Amino acid sequence: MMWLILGLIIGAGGWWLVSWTRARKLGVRWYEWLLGALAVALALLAIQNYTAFLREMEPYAASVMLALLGVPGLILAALAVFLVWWRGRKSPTKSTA
Amino acid sequence: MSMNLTRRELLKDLGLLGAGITLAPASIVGNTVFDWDNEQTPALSRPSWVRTADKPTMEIDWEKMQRYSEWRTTRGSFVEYVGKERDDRLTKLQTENLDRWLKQNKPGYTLKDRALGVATGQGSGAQGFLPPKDATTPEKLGVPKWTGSPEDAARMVTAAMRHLGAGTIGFVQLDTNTTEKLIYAQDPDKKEMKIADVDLPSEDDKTRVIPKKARWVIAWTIPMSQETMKTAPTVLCQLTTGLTYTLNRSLQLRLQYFLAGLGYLGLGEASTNALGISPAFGTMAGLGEMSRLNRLMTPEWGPITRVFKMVTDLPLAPTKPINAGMFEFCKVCKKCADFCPSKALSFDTEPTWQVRGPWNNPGHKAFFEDSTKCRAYWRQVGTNCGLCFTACPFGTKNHAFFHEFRNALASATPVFDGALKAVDDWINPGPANPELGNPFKDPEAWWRRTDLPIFGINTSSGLSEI
Ligand code: SF4
Ligand code: SF4
Repeated sequence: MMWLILGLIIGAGGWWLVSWTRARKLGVRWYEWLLGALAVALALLAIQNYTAFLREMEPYAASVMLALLGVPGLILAALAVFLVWWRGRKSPTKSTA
Repeated sequence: MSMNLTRRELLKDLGLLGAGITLAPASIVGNTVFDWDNEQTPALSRPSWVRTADKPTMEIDWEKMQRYSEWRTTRGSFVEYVGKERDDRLTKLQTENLDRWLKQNKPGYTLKDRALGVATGQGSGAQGFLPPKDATTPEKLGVPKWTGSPEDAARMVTAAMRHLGAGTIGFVQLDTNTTEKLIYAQDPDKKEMKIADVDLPSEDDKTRVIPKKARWVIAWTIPMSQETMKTAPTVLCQLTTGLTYTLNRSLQLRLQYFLAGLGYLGLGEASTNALGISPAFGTMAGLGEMSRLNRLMTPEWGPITRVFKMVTDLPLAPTKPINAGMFEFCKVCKKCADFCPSKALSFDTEPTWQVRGPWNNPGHKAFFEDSTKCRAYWRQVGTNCGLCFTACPFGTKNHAFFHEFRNALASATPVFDGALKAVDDWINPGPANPELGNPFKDPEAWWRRTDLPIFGINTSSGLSEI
């Protein structure tokens, strides 16, 4: 059930993000989408491992896995947002999405 | 718990792990990258990353191997190996420690732990070598005995045994020059195990006779509760082993009735660990691989399982040994040896033909242990310890994706074993206070859990979802 809800959230969120970036005419490059997708993949892995290690009654391992996978995910997501923002600040461009 | 890795090595390993992350899905899903041979036996359903092999991953020299007498292990000959005086001292120490910890209410050694320990040993069926006399045989029913192909028989026995409580089941065909040598020369009670050209099995004061026509061995696992095991080395930990033996006594008797009901012989373990070498039969049947523990390591539960066997004259299609990269992983890992308080386990990187003492059976290239050190520690803590089992990275409950990833990657290639072990050191760093008798995980937290599975076992681990 958790995965169904997460899938719906990611699907709806992704659709909204694409529409929003187009409407705002943000010039999102392919590698920024790739960074974003990797961030989502790492976040999903972090969630799966965190919840599963809790189910295994290993809260310490759960926290370590959350940090090991979640922190790189957050960094990639921040990097993608930063790149879009940085370019947008320098020069308004056309969307490539 | 020491990590045994410099920062440079760790970074290199983590770099390799990154490459592994890219390759692992290929090994989990398919066969192209690593020339996968995921042949499924007719009877056993295994995780997708388990490969069958023609030979076990541990080398065996069948010429050198002789039938071994069980009583020569430290179970039967500890006093002989360490001397009466030391044995007496250890007995005194064991009594004193158990008594003190009981009165101190030391977690894992309290009255409730002791009471549950005694309780788990109760209620099992009678355990014996010979088949039950009162079985309803086809002869009594006036019908011919069951017949079918060895593959049909293997499938049927597997289905029956899963229902009776076995974890995984495999079959070994006895051959005079090889696998027959895994049947003990003498049982724990020193009775000679004769294999003779007779029609019926028999037993007297000195011998047990296996008819030569009984050429098949059924080997099976019964998993233990990982969560209970994690309270090692306490009484609470020990009782999961005890419970498994109790469950098996009933299972063995039921299997003997089942085989007799089909018209065949079922020759069981006359007592705990009797009849033949369990890890060896488990390895030959493909239930797992040998490990640094010098015990069986299974893909489904790691080492946290017990292995049992029965000889039968029902022809069964043999199952093949497996290679899931676990024996190879042990060469790099050494975590159990690190955890072992008595330093009984081998720290060698490669296995050896050289045994450590008469408690080991020569003829296989293994990580031999100093069994006397292990037993002496058992006596000090008053239990069967088990800390090495709890240390093992493969002894996990396998809900997290990381376990699946580790298993698939370790099975595919040994290149990433060091990095996988480094991650395991992070998530499973060992007991906070490794003082004598102190538990790995808090036994009192175990007593507060009311939602653990029946017998503490995830029975679907490694099997397809039902
Ligand atoms: S049971 Fe305990 S003493 Fe024996 S080998 Fe394992 S950790 Fe060492
Ligand atoms: S702890 Fe490591 S070395 Fe020991 S049995 Fe497990 S995998 Fe092998």
